[in-house]
Amino acid sequence: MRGFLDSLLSLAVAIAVGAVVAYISGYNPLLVYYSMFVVPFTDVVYVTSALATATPIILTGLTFALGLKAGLFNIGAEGQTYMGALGAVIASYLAASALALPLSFVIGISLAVAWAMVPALLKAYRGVNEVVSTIMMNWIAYWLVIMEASTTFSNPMQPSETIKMPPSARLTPLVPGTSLTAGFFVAVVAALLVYWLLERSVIGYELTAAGLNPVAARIAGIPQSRVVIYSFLLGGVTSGVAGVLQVAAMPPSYSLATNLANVYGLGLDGITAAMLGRGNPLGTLLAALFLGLMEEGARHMQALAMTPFEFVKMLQGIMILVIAVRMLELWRRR
Amino acid sequence: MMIVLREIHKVFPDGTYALRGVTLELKAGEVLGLLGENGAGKTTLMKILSGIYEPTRGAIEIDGRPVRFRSARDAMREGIAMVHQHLSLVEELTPLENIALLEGPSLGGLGKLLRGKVEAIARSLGFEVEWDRPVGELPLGVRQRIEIVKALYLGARVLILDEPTSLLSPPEVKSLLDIVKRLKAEGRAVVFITHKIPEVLPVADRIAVLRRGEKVGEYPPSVGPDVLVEAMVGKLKSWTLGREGEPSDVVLSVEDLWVYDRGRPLLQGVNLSVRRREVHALVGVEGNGQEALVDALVGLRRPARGSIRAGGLVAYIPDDRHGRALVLDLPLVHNAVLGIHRRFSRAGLFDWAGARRFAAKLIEEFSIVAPGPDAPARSLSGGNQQKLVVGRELSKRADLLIAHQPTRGLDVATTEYVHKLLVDVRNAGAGVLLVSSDLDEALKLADTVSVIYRGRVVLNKPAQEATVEEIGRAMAGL
Amino acid sequence: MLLTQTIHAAVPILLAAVGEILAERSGVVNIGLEGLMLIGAFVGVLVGDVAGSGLIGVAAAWAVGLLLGLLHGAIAVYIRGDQLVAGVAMNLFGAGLVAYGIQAVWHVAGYRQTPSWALVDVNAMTVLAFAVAGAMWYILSRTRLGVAIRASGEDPEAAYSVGIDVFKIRLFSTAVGASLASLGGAYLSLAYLSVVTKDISAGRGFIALADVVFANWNPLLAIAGALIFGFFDALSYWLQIFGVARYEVTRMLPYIATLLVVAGVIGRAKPPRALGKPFRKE
Repeated sequence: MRGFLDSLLSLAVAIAVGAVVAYISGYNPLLVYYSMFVVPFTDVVYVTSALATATPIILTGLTFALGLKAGLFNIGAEGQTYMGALGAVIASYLAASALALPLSFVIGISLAVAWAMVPALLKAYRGVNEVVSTIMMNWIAYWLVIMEASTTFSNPMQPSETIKMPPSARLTPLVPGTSLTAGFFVAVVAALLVYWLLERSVIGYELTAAGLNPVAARIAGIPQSRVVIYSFLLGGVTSGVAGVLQVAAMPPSYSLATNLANVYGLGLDGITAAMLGRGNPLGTLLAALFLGLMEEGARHMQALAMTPFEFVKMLQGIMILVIAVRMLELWRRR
Repeated sequence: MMIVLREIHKVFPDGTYALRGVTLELKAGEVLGLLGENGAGKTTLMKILSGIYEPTRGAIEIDGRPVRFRSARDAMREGIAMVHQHLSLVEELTPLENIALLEGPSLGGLGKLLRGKVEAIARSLGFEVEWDRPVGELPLGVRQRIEIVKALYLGARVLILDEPTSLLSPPEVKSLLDIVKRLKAEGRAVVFITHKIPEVLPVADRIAVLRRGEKVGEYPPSVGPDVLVEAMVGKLKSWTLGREGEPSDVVLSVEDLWVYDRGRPLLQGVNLSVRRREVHALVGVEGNGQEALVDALVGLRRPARGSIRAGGLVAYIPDDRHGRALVLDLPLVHNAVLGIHRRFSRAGLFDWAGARRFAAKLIEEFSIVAPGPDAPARSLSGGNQQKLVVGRELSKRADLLIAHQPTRGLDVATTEYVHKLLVDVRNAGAGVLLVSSDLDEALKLADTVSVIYRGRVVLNKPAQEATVEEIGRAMAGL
Repeated sequence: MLLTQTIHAAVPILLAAVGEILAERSGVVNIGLEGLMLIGAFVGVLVGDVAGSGLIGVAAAWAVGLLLGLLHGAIAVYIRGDQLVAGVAMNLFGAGLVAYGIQAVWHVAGYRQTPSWALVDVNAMTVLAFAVAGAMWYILSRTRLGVAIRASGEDPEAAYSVGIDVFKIRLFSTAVGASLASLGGAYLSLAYLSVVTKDISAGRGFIALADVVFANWNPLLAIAGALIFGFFDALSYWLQIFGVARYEVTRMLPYIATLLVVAGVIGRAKPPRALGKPFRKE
């Protein structure tokens, strides 16, 4: 409960600071926040769009949250998501039928997990700091996927995109005219699964214990290497799914942009969601929904208050900065 | 110069009554030996003299003038410095740099003036120091000398040495005693805190013995070691709890175990065995190698030589329950199954219902006072946390139980209870290795007693045949 | 010339790494270097443009970094919070702020050319960077201040017991360290690349972290590390020009190199003993 209030408080502070910044920059703060938080609820299309935006953030947020639970700093969701998306594109290339959908998940998740295993093994067996290694993997994935997307898998008729997902393999909008697909429910189920795994499985128990006291855990027979590998593995799965969905469940294009526009920044958003959600899966889910709402609102804010879309990114940044201070101040008073 | 500690009482915030009205005098040009076991109060008394603690009651007088020390710096200004058992040198810096720290963070260099001064001090005490090698690379005897130079650099007239020989090899001990003699010759006062009688006898002018927070008496060294031992450990009734059955086959066999830490031997050829239906108490003042032995037994340290053979399941009650046995932020039930959690695995899923039943059973069986199985472990009192750990380890029905200071910091009732549990474990057929610095506890529970001193087992006898005096002497190095 | 390009490319990494070495030697870890670089780049152009002088822009960027470093230091030292989380927050904040700022101030999406009156000489800043590295080495190893800083990072209890104000030392070191990172950012936008974009730092803040480890917390070795990474950075343009490899492959090289270095080096590197552990006066 205290954590929830904490997040709420940081939101309030960020909104206040953001209002000041908006005002200084010459925008109307009231209009900004009205369009960001109120307008999205005025039409079903907007709401579903917010949910669709939240979908990948739920999944990448789970990656970071799984890391935190194990006492690790896994910021590799960004690169793992790219690899997941690449997997979907490869599947589209290999199978021109409905088979492409399951194949996307298989290839996408495998690639993402493989990508996650590099920093995992380096940490488990060579003690390499995962902050540096995951960031490096992110940037390597960035260039690798751009290269493949713009050459091998590029769409001859639309060079700014890759080949499209075969029509029978696509996850289509559940409500006509919106962008909400079954992908959203996949993400929600994933969050519930992760929660369930952490609470009700033996490995979940081991991860949680080791994340809080690695020495006692080791004495109790929980080796650190196991914890690291499982955490990264599960995190790779969720980000891989996120990447696949950004291709297979992305109307109207159902392809990957060659500048990675439909996957760029999702890892960072996930971190924001996980931190707002205090590192637990359900909190991350809620926080991701909230961030989806904010981003949907930001589009309206652009139109109505003439404020640049990036305002919402800055707002998120302030929120996390305040959380970093607040959260820790509470810790001091322990 | 005359320093008087008058009627010093010290009660700590957690209720520990460490000193009960101790009065002590100290004169210039004198070496005072301060003798006593763990927890006797010697270090606490000296920390009060050196300004680190303030007395709850009582006063300090220097040349008849009452003084109050609010910090070590205050005491330093009066010329009182303490060289701690765990040296406060930064290992990664050189000795010169460590002393430069005393001059504060300025942009000034580490030049000739500083070097000249410290070299002069060292020479006056009859030794040399490699001023430009990182302290971590220097032997402990040298490090101690640097600490002494540090104290003298700031102009100390009184030097308090806390267990100075615990980390030294025999030749280094001799060098130290020579330095103490020189300090005395220079007119300074030296307080030599120790539990090792043979080391203090050659240098002290007077020996004060503390036991359980009180001064038992002051003696000239000529009074002989036996009187001192008796003063230190007192007349203990060795009484035993109901023991059933005789020791049978061996569950733990340690042979010729050597453990090193950065070149220094912590264990030097330790031989030990524990049998079923035996409580084997390994006693000794903390810091003589017990910690390294336990670490080696539970796999946290790798021995350089020798072997450890444990026949069966091992349960472990660590001396540091917060760091090693519990995850404080998790609920009681999570902690109750830590280490045996795999028993609750049903095809990878955690049988929480079963775990809660198990935790409830532990709570009842061991009378653990807690709001419920979901209370965070942190919210339990120290005694109840220990009961949880003990209960958990006991429920493993292990063949060997290693109990390291199992009753440290516990109240009397809980202590009695834990003792009873340990004997029950023994009677049920397991072997118990009790590592403790509490002689009373050891004698009460043990079938066999060993004493560890400077990394070696120096005594090994059935408890019935060992006398308190004998054990006391072995613990004190005689 | 490949050599000059290598040296120029090494500068931002060197500045951030040397700054972080200072902070970490005192015991505080700041992974927010990426965010600091971004903010430094942005503030540098903003102020330099408005003030009509690149030098003022550089100074402003440095000052902003100092303030943010004080914030991080306060969080680490007085609030005793999780330093890694605070660093992540700094990165997120920097990314958000700069992305927004570019849009809000200049109404362009993505990038802004640095006006000519705000440019600063690349060579001057390069010399400054190397001078700072040298000075940092001297201070850390040959002065009493350096001894106090190192003691705070290795054994704060021992340092405190001899009267060193560990808190102030750590606060100071973190603040100055952060200011160097933002200085590196200003170099990117005002001297080296002459643009400011929302991801102008491109991971350099994290490469600087790797450089700190590679250099074993020694500012002089950090020069070597920065040059290695700078080499790969410069190399990528050359390989492209000669058509030896695809553009994207060349861009991957610095990151692959960093990864290999970090993986290979980690065994022998010894961080300050109290790094990342908040200090409590007992």
